[in-house]
Amino acid sequence: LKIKLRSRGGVQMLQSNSFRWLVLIIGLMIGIAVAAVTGSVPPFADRPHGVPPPPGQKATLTIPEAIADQAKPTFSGPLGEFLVTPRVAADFPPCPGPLKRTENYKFHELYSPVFGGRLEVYECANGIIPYVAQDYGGPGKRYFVGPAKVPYEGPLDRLVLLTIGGHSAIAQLPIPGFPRSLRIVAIERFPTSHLPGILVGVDNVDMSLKDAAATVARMMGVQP
Amino acid sequence: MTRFRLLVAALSVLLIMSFSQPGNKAYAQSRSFGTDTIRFIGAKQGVNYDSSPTLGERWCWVTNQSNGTGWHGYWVSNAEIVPNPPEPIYGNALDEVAQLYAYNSSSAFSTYCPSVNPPGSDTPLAPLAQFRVFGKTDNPQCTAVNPCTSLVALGRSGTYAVTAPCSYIEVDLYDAGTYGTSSLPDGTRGNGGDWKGMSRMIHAMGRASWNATIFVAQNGWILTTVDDAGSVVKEQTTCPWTQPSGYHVHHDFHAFNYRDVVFVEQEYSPCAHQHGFALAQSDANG
Repeated sequence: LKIKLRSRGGVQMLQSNSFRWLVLIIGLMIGIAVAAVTGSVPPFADRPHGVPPPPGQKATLTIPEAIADQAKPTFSGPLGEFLVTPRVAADFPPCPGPLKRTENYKFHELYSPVFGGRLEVYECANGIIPYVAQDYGGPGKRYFVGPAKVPYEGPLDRLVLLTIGGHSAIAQLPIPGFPRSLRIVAIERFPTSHLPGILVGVDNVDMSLKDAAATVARMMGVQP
Repeated sequence: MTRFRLLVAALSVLLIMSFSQPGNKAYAQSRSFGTDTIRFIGAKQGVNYDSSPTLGERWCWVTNQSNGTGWHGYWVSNAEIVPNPPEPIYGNALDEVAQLYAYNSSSAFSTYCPSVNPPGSDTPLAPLAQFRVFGKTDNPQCTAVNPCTSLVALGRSGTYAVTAPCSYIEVDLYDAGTYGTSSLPDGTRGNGGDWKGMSRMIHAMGRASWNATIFVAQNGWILTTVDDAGSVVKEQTTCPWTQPSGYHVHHDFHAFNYRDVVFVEQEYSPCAHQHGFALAQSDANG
């Protein structure tokens, strides 16, 4: 009814507008069809293809920043209060075997509520519990004697000394290109003639250094 | 009408952008289409008794012992650890050795899963720890002759610092379409992405870092292998397992984002010989 009331020019304008919209819609449909055929837009997107290597491939590294990192010499030696000993962890106090599973750990000095429950905790034949942890990779606490060895393996520029709530700590920053490889350890207690020392930390996490340090602080019950 | 015009305009802009930059960064970052299934094969290579090109060689797992010092013997869903008093079942973990001879009902170590050679010695019979997976997808664009990339595998190895000083090989799995797209503001992490989980082998050690790409196809299982991911080791004392009780690889899988990882084959039975374990990895569609 409104159209009838418009002028002749107004009707022509409406027809012209409709024609433009028709062209746009047709163009749009053609575009969608082309996108679907070429696979250039999700959800029509084609996935990247490739040729898998033949069975029996060797472990290789093709991430440039990781290759550059591996080309640097691995640090070994004293660093702050720590002794960096690649792939060799700190010594435990005497722990004669066989190790025996124990459920009696929640009031142990190595336990932290951060670990949660249902832990796999072992007790030596002499009654010592050498470590308590949520997982092999931590978060966890362990006893040590002798120097505070850390089994970190990397160049010096990825090893960072820091202090967490007054405690000496060391972090191994992630391998470039390997996000979940930040490691951090703090010395909660140095060993004495009658007490083993305590190391606390976590291995291979996807955290910022600040958050990892905060986690270690919580395990020690201190402010970061 | 105004809203309709806006919609058409937005769609047009998107279309123009899609054609102006084919294969650009945004495209690379998009989640890929399809649901992929990744089947892990045991880290210890045994014998392929079925001549199957896809199931891989058989391996043995060792059941829990009643005295609490036994090995993990179950591979169940990634869900919670299931209490089974007095021994909890450690779901998501098993200890494996290669199966080299036909199964029989007697003790595995002394017969078909010998672990060391000769018996009672300190020499591992199958020293290599391997990372091997088969991949499949429901995306028809991915074929056996032209497979698609599914996951980026980032392997690393070392010794744990604050718990049992056990050796490990950890393999993080990222969606290949999103790997390298996120970082933390303080620069302590880069190249992250859509993490799908971590396959881990303990009591084995390899090179500090390596990477591989896992491929998938719709019309067949695509094998991806890293044959020298590491070797079995004796371990320091105070790692819960040390020689001479039998070289093995503890294998588990960590996936905290349970939504994307479910098992398609569950192995509850403490059978002495199995083919492998598998998981389905949802790769797309949010």
